[in-house]
Amino acid sequence: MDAADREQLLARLRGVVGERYAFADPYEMRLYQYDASPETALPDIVVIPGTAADVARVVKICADAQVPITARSAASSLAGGTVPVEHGVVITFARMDRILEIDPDNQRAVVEPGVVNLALSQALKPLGYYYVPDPSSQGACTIGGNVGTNAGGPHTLLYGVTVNHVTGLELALPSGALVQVGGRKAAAASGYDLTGLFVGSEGTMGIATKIWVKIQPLPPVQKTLMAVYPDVETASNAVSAIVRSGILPAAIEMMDKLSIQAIEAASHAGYPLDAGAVLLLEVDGIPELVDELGERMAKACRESGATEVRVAKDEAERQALWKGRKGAFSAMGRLSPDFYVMDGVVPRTRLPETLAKIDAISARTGFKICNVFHAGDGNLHPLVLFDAFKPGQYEAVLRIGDEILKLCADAGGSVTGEHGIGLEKRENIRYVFSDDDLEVMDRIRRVFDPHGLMNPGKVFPGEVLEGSAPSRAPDHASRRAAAGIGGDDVWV
Amino acid sequence: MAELASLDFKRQIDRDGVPSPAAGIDMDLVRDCIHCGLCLPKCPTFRTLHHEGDSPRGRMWQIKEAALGLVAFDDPRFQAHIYQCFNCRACETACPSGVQFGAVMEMARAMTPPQNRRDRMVRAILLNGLLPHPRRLRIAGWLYRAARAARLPGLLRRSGAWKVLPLGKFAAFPPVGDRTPRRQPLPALTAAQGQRRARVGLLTGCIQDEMFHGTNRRTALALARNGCDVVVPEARVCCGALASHAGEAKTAERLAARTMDAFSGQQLDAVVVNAAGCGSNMKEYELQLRNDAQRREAGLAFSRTVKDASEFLVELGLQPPTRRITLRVAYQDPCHLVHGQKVHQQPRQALKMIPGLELVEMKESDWCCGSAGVYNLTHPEISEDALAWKIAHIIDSGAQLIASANPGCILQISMGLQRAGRDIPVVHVMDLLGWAYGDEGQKPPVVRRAMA
Repeated sequence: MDAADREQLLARLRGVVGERYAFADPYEMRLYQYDASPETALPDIVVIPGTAADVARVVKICADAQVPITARSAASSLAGGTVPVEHGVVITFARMDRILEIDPDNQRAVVEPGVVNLALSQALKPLGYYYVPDPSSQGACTIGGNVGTNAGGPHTLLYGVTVNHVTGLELALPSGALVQVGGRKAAAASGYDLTGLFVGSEGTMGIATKIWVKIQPLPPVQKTLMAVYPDVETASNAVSAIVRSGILPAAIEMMDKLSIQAIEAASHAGYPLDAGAVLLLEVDGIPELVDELGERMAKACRESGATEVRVAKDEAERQALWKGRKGAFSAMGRLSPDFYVMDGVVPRTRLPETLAKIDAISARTGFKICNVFHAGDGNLHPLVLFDAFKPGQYEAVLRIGDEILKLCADAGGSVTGEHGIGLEKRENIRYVFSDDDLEVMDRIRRVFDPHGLMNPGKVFPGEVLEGSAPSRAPDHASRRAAAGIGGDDVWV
Repeated sequence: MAELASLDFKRQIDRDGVPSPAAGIDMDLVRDCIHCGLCLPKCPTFRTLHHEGDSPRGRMWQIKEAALGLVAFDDPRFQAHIYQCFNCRACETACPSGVQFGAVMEMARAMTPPQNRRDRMVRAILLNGLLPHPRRLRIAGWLYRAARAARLPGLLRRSGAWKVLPLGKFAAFPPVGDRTPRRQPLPALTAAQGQRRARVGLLTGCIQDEMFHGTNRRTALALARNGCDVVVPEARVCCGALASHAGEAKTAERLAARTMDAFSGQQLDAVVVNAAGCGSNMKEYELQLRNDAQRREAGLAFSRTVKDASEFLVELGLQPPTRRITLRVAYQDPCHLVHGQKVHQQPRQALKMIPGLELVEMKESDWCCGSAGVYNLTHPEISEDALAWKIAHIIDSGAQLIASANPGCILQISMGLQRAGRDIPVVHVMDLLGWAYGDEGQKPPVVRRAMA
């Protein structure tokens, strides 16, 4: 964007949100170039709107000016989802963090996108309710971001991910319209499930400005078990064995030796430093049920090779174990200056061989790889530790990531479980979708965003060359144009 | 427009080699931050200002960029964001990566003294001109008490003059502390009562000793009643906390050395501090003395002996006080105690030992009240916003009295509550303990009634 265009656009945006909340100072732009992933790119303008109506106006102004729009709230994305790779305008939700309505009897709450995931559950707690999806970054990540990536979390094994807990959305579309999908007081199933379509679309079709969520009564009792295994293979075989025993716990998490070291350095959670691997399991419900399930689960763990099974004796111990688990990624800062985390998924039964292959990659390349992940879902989070100040390491780590994701896809899994495709995995997405698959998705997206302005450069494969003019069209566009699909108005 | 160099470490390093960071910034500490964002919801200035540049992650990023020469340390925007930080270190408590934010912030501030007039004045007058000089402090203390004796605060309030005078709000709404003229300094040795269990030094401090002399006396009483010989060094010292937290590295280093000298050779089991900011600073003397190769080791050794008063007493095993104080009390965590020293439970445990005292929790007790060292003088608007939250939570809690453990917080919250027209005194945990042990000094009416 040239300076004159930027000034003009800035003036119009300031007309909506005021001078303080729209700015283009290059110094400030540097602070919106990153998220929790290793990727960076500078925006031209940042806007911090205060209301849904303002968001709609901002989106319309940008769309009219043909300027890319990237939504960002906590910017805790691990996949570069909020990095404005094609520059343009970044909209942040730091001011839109209000809980608008809580209706326990109808099991619903209405929130603005900037509400922190944990803050919602904390507000619900006195009423005896909670919001189930609990990404490990729940202390920072927002419901808006959760909707964008269809976020998961340890407790989604039994209860489902974000899409299963969002019942409606208000969306700002590039047309300038503020539309509502779902969000009826009673569960309704009339017409297309557009809510389901938008959840997980990573801001590529529109921006959620209001979110209706389902809230659940807090389980009366939660029991957390820690099972210690001699090695990763035994532990990963145990996951299938536990499920086979007829119990589906609320959560099954695995941590390997290296992760345990990082976690204990960070929070003294109480994990044994000499364990080869640890499974963290949780069951919840009424006391009688939980006792029974807990015992059966402990038995299944022991029979599958656990050397020790420990039940958290009180809430403090339980919280400590979970705090350690949920802080695991950030705790990697204790072991290494930089890390690169993946989000591959494999069928549960293929866990042992996949982990063995990852181990082999680590041995071959010399990079340490930690594993701390949602074992019940087969949702792996291999963390490659590296030092970005050592020349060549970052590129090498990206290659390792690519290899691991290929491995997951080949095992019948996927390249992302919950972090989103974002910037990071847009090429890897080819491992799971054919060109035809991608084309269908792209056509759906363009119904809402005909000019590809919403969070461009994400989800779909495509080259974005540094310093060159932004290319918003996915690289299968030419093939489609040759086939006579779409027109110039669509394919910018 | 020409693009600024992007902080794309990974590829840039392949292209240009490893950058050499600025001297004065410990890059290892800076790189502990992996910009995950878990600190953002805990940052009081981010809550008020909403800009990434005013979040802990944003500040770490800016310091990283400045250290690598991508932005200048004296860039006014860098300064604005860096000095807009409370340095309350709530982000440290939230951080799973173990970033030592306070240490990094102090290094960054030391690289770039603030350019704006208000900041420079506060530094020249207060941090460098007054606090390090015992005689000037005594004169200031005398003036302060004389003004109170002349009922100047009431005059300022009634006339509305406080609204236009610089520092008017602090002059018009002074804390309940000691109104009486300062009596004798604490004796060099207060002997242990009953069986002798320890020999400790007590830091009487600068502001603490002038404005809260009674709190020091009650701290000594509480220690003595728990079997401690209490040694007070003859040389009155300021530990340098306000200077170090504001990035006045030279003054901080000098005062650290002087404080260590004052306590040396006394065969002490511990150096007890009742001001959270001072305690936190003294526990980090190694950092303050980082440029002094000879004293650095000694600083580390000294730091290990430093204890907050309630931390020390609770670890020692507090003798239950006997006097009843029938009051509903909420405890406000000073940032430099809960985040800086990780002392959270001990003050509460000490309060619960007092017969009749009911401890209630207020919302966000571990959020900064906006006092933040000299911050309420340098950045009054942002400070007022934090104070407004605090006052609202205090009123919601239903507490009749607030206990805290740092002079800055006590001053700030006291002023806020008075201005809101609430008769809720703010006192030190050691005040309550001291009264419960039988101290006969002046008490706020609320406490007098509760002990009747």
